[in-house]
Amino acid sequence: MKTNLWRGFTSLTAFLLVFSILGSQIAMAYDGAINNFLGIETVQVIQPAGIENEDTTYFKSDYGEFTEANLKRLVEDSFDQTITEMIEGAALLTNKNGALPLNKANERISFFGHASVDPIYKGNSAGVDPMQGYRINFPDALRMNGFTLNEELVAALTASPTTRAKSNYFWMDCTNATNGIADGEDTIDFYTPELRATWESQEGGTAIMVLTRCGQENYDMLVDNVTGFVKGEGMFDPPISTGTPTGLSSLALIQEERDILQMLKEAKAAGYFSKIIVLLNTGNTMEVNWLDDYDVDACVFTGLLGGVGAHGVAKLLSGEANFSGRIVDTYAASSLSAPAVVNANGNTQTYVNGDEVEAAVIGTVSPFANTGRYMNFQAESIYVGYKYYETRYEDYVLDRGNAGSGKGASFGATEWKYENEVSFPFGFGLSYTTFEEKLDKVEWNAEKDAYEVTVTVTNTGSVAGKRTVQIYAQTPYGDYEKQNKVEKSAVQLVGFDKTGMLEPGESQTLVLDADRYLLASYDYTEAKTFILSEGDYYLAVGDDAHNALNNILMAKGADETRMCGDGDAAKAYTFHLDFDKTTYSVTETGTAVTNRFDDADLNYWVPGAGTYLSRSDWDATYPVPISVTATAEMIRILAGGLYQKPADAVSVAEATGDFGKDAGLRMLDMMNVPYEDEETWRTFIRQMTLDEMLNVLDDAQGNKWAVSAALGLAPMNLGDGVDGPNGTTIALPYEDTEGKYGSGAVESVSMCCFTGKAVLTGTFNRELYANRGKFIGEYGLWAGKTEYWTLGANFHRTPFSGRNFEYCSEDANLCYMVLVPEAIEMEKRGVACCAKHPAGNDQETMRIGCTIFTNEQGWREGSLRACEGALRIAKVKSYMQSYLRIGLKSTMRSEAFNNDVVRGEWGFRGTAITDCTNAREDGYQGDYLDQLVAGTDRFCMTNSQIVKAQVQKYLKETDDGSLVSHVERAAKNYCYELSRTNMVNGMSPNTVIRHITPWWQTAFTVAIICFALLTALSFIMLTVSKLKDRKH
Amino acid sequence: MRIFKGKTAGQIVLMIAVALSVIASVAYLIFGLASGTFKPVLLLLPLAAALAGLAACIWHGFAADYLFPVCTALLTASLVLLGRDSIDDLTAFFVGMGDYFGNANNVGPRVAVAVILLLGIITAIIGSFLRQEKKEAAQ
Repeated sequence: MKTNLWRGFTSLTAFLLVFSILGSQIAMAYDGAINNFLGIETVQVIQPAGIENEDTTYFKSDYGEFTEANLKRLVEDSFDQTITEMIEGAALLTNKNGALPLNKANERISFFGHASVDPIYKGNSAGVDPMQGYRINFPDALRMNGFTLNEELVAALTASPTTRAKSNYFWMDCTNATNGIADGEDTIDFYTPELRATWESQEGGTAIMVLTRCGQENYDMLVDNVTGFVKGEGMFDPPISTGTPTGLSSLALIQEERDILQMLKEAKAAGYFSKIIVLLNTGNTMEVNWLDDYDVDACVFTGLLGGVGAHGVAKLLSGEANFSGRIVDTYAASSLSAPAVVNANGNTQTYVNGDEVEAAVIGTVSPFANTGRYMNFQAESIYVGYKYYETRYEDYVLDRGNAGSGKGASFGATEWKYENEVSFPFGFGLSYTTFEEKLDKVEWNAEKDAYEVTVTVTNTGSVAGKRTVQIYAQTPYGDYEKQNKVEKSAVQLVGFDKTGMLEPGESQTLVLDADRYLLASYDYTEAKTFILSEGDYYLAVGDDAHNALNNILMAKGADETRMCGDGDAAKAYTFHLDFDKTTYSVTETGTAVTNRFDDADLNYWVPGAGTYLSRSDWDATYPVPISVTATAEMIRILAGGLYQKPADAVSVAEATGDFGKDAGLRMLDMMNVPYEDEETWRTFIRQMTLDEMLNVLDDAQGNKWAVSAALGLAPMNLGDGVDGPNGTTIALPYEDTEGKYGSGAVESVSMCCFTGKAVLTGTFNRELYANRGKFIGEYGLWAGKTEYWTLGANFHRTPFSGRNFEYCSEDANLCYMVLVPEAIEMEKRGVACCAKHPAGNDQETMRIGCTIFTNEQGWREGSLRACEGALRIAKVKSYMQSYLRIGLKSTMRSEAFNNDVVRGEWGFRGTAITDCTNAREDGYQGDYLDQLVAGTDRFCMTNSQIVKAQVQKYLKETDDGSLVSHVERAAKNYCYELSRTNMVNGMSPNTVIRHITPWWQTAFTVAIICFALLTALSFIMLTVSKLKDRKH
Repeated sequence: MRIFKGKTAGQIVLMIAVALSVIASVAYLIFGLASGTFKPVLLLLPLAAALAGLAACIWHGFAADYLFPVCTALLTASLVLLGRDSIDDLTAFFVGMGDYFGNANNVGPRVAVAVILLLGIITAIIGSFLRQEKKEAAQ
């Protein structure tokens, strides 16, 4: 009786039961993401009575109490910072006949280029979008600052269906981009006769053409901007159509842009425009060797705008503010002329036996393709950016090293000439006024280990302005260096400063420090440490890198007829040093500086396979595409997963014998305990059980697992993004009632979106660097964030890297100096500053698993130098590693990098976290044990505590207690970092931290119990029914 | 339609569920191998469900009725585990985070397999409620 009914119910309840059981397991695996999405707090902080009478705010805001009025001050100060960054960081590249400033009282502006109304505010990576109403494009900014615009044209551009790179995360929406991933631009047909009539109706207007270029996380700009390119559907899928090569990169003009510029040139010739102004709203550099071809009067690098940075552009164009910014990259006539490009970006090579490598590397549980086959031979060594162009220039002038060879010359030239190669040199930037710099004196300061360079700057022009002062050095390149492959840049930036606002005729004397450490070179063949070469050194001031070199060349008595530009010997200072391989062979930590990356050199594995660029012979050593077959041993290392239990390993029981014993220490007690107080830290950490320690390893864009009521350890809350970290919302409203910055009421304030990194860096103003850090730290403090992945600590190794917008410059020395003030000020607000991505994360093409082959000089003076300031000088509390490999090993499992250099030589204290693992369980990035042993403490987005599970499984299977010490180290580093953050704010010795089970987990539990009971009941009833049937 | 001749409605529906299970298995096999994301468990579970359903169709012993919930449970497990396996691709599809996490192209085939499995579950449940033998109907 009713058998079919109970059978049906049993099926139905079985369905519900299985669904709820498996569903709950999956949900639990992603609990961090679900809780974040639902806004559920899983931890409750219970304060003891009377705490209100205690001052438990250990990290205080400069803005006082968290009130709406104080937040308004913070928001508007950060807006002002953004505008000031633009004013001081935008660079005036050319300004014929005083085309700028514009007279906003009687000049009508016609905007061209889709980017004028749809500019790039921030780079295409993690970070915050500007708040609604405070996202100001160029026409908005000029209108708000009193300019008269051709509004019909603005309206037409705004209505255009053309799309291009957006400033949100992971765009790929360029419907009109026929040129690969270059940015979308209206075709010339867009400018109809009716639209042309809007500027042809009156004469003498000003045309402003806005151009954009910006790579993206995972995408470099194209080294050949082919026509007809159609990208693959997936990131690593081959293109649907590879198109037809053009020989031009995506940093050159695309045809749509050429057409518009030609139209403007013709309109100017016809008298409709008196001036053509070009604005470069770019995250990467652009090739601008065409300015004269289109009769452009002025060109300004504005970089990425940030939310309200366009106001700064308006003030500069009107002359309300004066330019003082400098470009932080060389603007090459052809970006392809950089030697680093030969084997990088779109020219990244594959191993000859790439399939074999791939088969060994790819995971089986988490098969993620193309993480083994790609390789990048960094043949350029130290010759990145201006260090290449200016060094080759000096050798050309001095007629040595075959510098004039056609190798590396652009546009098919048979002779390399500087003037054909460089449009604007590193450090270049004009002003509305003129300055005179006088090198007063240079003095050695042994205490600071620096040369004090005294420079007097005088404003010789007619308007007020600030002046960026740059100090460059040249170090000897003699027989020792040639014999031992120690390469030397003809100039390198070693110091900078900025004057205050100087009125016409006013002078200011600055004393700049030129850090002697930056004069040292890494000798990887003989001394195997940093050396100071024997010979004559030069320190020179200059308008830019090229001008400084010309000053040095004049001091050396060079042949002026071979020089490009003028020099002044009086602006160079020379001195002699003896050979010294001792001073920088040991760091302040007492650790020896010596070769640690021999195995990152291609020639270590395949002798003679690669030649590094050397100024001893530019012709013979200029890079060529490399071809290498990976050996069996190379493949073994590439595959990873090499950790094995040491023969002398203790058991897990022995290793954890004194874990979990309460010693009465809490996080609050540790906030001032030095890292080196190992006994106290050991006692503190060993209050945790092994299981609790393992909770620090995994990350779900934050960590809510590593919470301990006993230790007073609260969750780690974080945000991500260089121009302003995302995930930072303050539940208070804001409105600019005066309409100074924008308009509109915002319910909850989010982090300010600041200008692009090249703009900030180009200010050459340490106060602005520090203020950027201060404001980001303030927002973090207000929003309860304890860590920001925010300090872009790589360099622009090539002009094409997809994330150049996140990094400071092509000059690693500048990166070294720039990041320090920002990081220090941020951490003063109790927000751990995580530098990303040390080291070598300087291309996006095939970045996950791509092998980097380099020599140790190139590595130490390039990629390592770029992050050294942040990690060694500023002593940030965290860094996020690179996706690329250092040699054959990932940075995550490079002991040489994480332990020997970063922690050993540089004294870094804090956590090393991987880049996003996407919870891979094997393959590249999935060898978590190797990474843990090699100094990695945290694993980004291993959402379901995969690493903890893997370690537990391994310990159970092997009883390898030696691994426990690495877990303990990670726990210490984690707690050390958090103890220095605002996590301790509001904590007293009696504060209680309690876990809260999210409602959805309870709901799952209830559902499982109910469905299990129903299933059991249905099953029983089915059986009863069947037995009754049988009786019948 | 000779194979349905003499069959009860329950048997017919259950056979449809079996057919859907087999189709889902084959579809997943093709997709999984082509996309490089093949997981054996996602092939074996619906095949096992098909076997359970088939046994329930042709065997009428005392325990045959318990094969229905087994068939349903196996199909349900297939569906949920396919969902678990699809999270990266769905992330790529909805969040647009490139293929950082998965491949948006895989979403279509995955949804297709999931729909077949879901139809299989529904028909298996419906079939469970329907009479399987003529005498069962008489009762």
